[in-house]
Amino acid sequence: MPKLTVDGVEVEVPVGSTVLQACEAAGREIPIFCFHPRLNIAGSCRMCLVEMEKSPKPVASCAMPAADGMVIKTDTPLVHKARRGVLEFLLINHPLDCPICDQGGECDLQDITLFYGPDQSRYTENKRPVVDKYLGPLVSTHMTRCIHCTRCIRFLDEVAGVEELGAVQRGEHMEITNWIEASLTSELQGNIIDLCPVGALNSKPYEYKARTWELRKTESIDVSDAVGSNIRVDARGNEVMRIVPRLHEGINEEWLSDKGRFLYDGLKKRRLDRPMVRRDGQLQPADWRIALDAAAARLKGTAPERIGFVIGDLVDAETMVLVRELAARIGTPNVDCRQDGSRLGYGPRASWLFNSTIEGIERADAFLLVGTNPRHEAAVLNARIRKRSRQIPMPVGRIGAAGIDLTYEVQDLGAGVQTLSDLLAGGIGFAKELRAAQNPMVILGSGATARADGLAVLDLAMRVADEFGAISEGWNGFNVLHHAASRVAGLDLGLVPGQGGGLDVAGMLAGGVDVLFLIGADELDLSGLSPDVHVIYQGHHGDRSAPRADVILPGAAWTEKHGTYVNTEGRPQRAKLAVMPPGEAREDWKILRALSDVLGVTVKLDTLGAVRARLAELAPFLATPDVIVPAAWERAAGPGDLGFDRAPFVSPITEYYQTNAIARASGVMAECTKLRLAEHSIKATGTHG
Amino acid sequence: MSSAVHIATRPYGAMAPDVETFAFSPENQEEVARILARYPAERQQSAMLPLLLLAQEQHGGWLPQAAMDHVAELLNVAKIRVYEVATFYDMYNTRPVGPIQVRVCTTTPCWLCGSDDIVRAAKDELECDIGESSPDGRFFLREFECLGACANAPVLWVDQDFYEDLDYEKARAVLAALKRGETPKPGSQTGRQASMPVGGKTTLFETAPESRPANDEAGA
Amino acid sequence: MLKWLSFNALGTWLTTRFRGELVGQDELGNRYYRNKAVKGLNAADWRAERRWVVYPDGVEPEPTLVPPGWSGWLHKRFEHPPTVAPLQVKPWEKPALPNLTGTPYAYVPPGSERGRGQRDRATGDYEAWTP
Repeated sequence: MPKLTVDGVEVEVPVGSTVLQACEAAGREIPIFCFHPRLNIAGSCRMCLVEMEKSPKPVASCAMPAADGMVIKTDTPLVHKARRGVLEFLLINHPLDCPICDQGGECDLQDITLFYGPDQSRYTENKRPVVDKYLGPLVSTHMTRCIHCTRCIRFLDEVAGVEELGAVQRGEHMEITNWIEASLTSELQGNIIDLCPVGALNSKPYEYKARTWELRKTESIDVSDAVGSNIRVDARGNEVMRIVPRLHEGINEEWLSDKGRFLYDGLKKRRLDRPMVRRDGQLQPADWRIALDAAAARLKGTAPERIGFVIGDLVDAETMVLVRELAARIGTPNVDCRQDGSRLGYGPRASWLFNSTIEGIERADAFLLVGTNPRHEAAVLNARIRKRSRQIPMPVGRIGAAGIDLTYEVQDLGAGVQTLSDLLAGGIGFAKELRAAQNPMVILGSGATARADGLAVLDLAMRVADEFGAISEGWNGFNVLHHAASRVAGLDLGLVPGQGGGLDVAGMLAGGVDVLFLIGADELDLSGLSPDVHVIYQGHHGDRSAPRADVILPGAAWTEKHGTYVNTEGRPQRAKLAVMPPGEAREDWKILRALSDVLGVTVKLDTLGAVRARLAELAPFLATPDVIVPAAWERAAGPGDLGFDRAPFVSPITEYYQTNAIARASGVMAECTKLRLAEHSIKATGTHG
Repeated sequence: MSSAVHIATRPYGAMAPDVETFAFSPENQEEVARILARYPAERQQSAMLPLLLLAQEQHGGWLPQAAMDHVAELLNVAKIRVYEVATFYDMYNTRPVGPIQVRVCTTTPCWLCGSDDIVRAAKDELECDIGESSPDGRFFLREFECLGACANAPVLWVDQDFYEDLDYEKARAVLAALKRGETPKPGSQTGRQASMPVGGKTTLFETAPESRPANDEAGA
Repeated sequence: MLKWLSFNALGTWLTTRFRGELVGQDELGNRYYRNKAVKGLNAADWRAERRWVVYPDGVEPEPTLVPPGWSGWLHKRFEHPPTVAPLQVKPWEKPALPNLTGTPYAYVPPGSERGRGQRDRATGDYEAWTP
């Protein structure tokens, strides 16, 4: 533990710390551009210069290892002069377009210049022009503003694992570029917008749309996948202008997947903004009273066991509480929150959670991925695995979902169930590596459980976890990776057809029900549904299910209500209302509450507080936000002989940018999809790009 | 530069065209194997510089994107890493240029000895500006930083050869000969030996000893 | 007299009465004055002289009712009143209108209910789904 003196204060920092960290430990703020705590050190901006005793020149504190007995001064005339000089140089080629720059107001260069910089430039020559680069539909570039901190290059190399940006030329001619005119292929590319300390990389959809100080900031939770990344929704008036990540060390660190960051323009398109009722074969606008009456009339006139509820992927836990209460009052056992046909939800809670937690990935030393493509199902989580794989040499085995570059080295073990049972029997070389590991981790994706033999696969995977020591004192390496934000809350609330013979989604769609109540369920194939089935759709987008509906009850999207979402770890988190729902749309739990009145089976939950209290009653482990209650490990009794399906495991996500109703409505996501498809076809035909 | 490198022999044709695909010629593939063998298995990317140079010489003086991609593939590194290296170093050309590289040193010692005249001579003779290729596409003219031959300033570097002690006329004569496809005698153009004093010897008038030290050859 | 005073201040009346020299009158009945020759002021110093308008009785004083030619004279853009040097009107010039605020001809923004009733896109707008 080196001990050093910073401005007369003695501090002790861990071995391997830099002088910069020591200064921060001593409570000194050092201005930085290129340094980023989660990236490698570049030492290219020279902004962090400090004075060190016995050193003839100021030293770059971010790159100088802290050593015993160093005497650092951060507030001397020399340091001030050095900072002023560095800034003057940086500003030589930086355009003075702050008034039109999107970074204006949240720009490191602006702030640091204000505090440490010169008040005027002595530079009278022409500034350096740099051609803007094309990086795809998400990131816009203004390369004249670039100060060459190389954070974007380092992020893509180290965190995203896609080496696509680089610095070509040198000296004054240096440029950050991808050289070829192609879009970036990372699912985390949006983060380079946040990392850019100046306005060189901006969000293309947000470009010139708003100034930062006009935005109303609301802390929320990302629902585009089941990771539950912490986000901030920035709104102006009643419009979501952008979404940026928030820091949460346990989940997303400070990253956010592109889908979560850029799908917001879908919130303004194809919205269901008023109730609709089908009359004469046509959906026609109606008022709430008429729509609720129409829905209630059908529900009342149908035998309870002929009514089915399906819950979609973006539904909050509060709404699910109401669904549960309403279904219980009506008396139907047909409730299912697993619209992808997953078989999870029976047995112990540990069988559907990411038990080791996302932070636990950094303790694991061997991975077995079963039927999952984490890069697309949970991009931020995949970055964690990559981070771990860069820390230690680590075997990663994969069963099914082959052929996808996960940005770290993966051994493809096989395609399906057979491989998994072979592994259990020890017949695969990977078994040895898995057994040698201290904290092995099994990640089971929905590709393996959303099949007819899902329970059997689950049982097999749990046996593998047990067998290879993934379950030990203080370590539970059996993990289920979901891809729907609502799934864990639904399973925790027991919204699966019970042992009482309820129908699951497939059973309902196959003609098991006469009234199908869809709550934001859009991933269903309704084409085979009998025309006699009455469909009530409650949701926020006119997506796949709404055209088939007979009654539409317009609900609120996740930015438009207070809701609880439980991520794949079983961590409940609260998203807050950022903007109001459009038109006559209402918060979903209120709609169901009103409907229960009309049905005459009043659910006595009148306030959000009451709903949340009921949620805590039903699922006590969801009571405290941001607290994971670990699930006790027990293996469910074997499901009996269900027989295995020989088909290979495939990831449920075929098109990353199109996985939910909001993303499908989004123009930005559509453009990304188009580009990705175009690139695939280029690769397929073998033409040189 | 290794003499083992396979180089197209003079007279060069015109500027090499851009290509869609690139592969090393059979002779150069042997050379590639030799270069790769110099580095340990996990440090293969260190071979990037010699491989790029080889590719550039095979392709007539410049590196098409396909060649850089090919090198990236050989070394199993991201393409952008090769682009970075190729654009960083001055000896690689990433756009089409003439195959005969004419470089004029314009660093201070050469400049004091009249490199401005050499630049002018080159511009006049090759009918192109600095950083351009001659109209016939055979020559590429560029400025270069110190070539380390300050004792013989000003210096012109053409492909593998230095032409030294130039003035306007001598530089034109050298370039004119090159244009005709001849190879003028490299080295000092005033006839002095290596970088001996211009006015002839001022010391070491005695005859050399019979036997020379053994390490003289290696140190040359 | 009292009615006149209700629209014009007493000072203006007195100044007009004792100092004013009537220059002309426009078609609306506004009368234009300047101060009688002051000692030491010659013709070249016309920009230094005071010029003013007296509105007719019973009309609410409204500066935009002054026609362009007279307005230019009042503001000393022209040396001579339009009665002497008529205003040069370009073919593309529209006739001057007085202030229309408060009248039915007043300007309304395009999105206003009293205008065409269609407002431009604004923040918070969304596109509704239609079946």
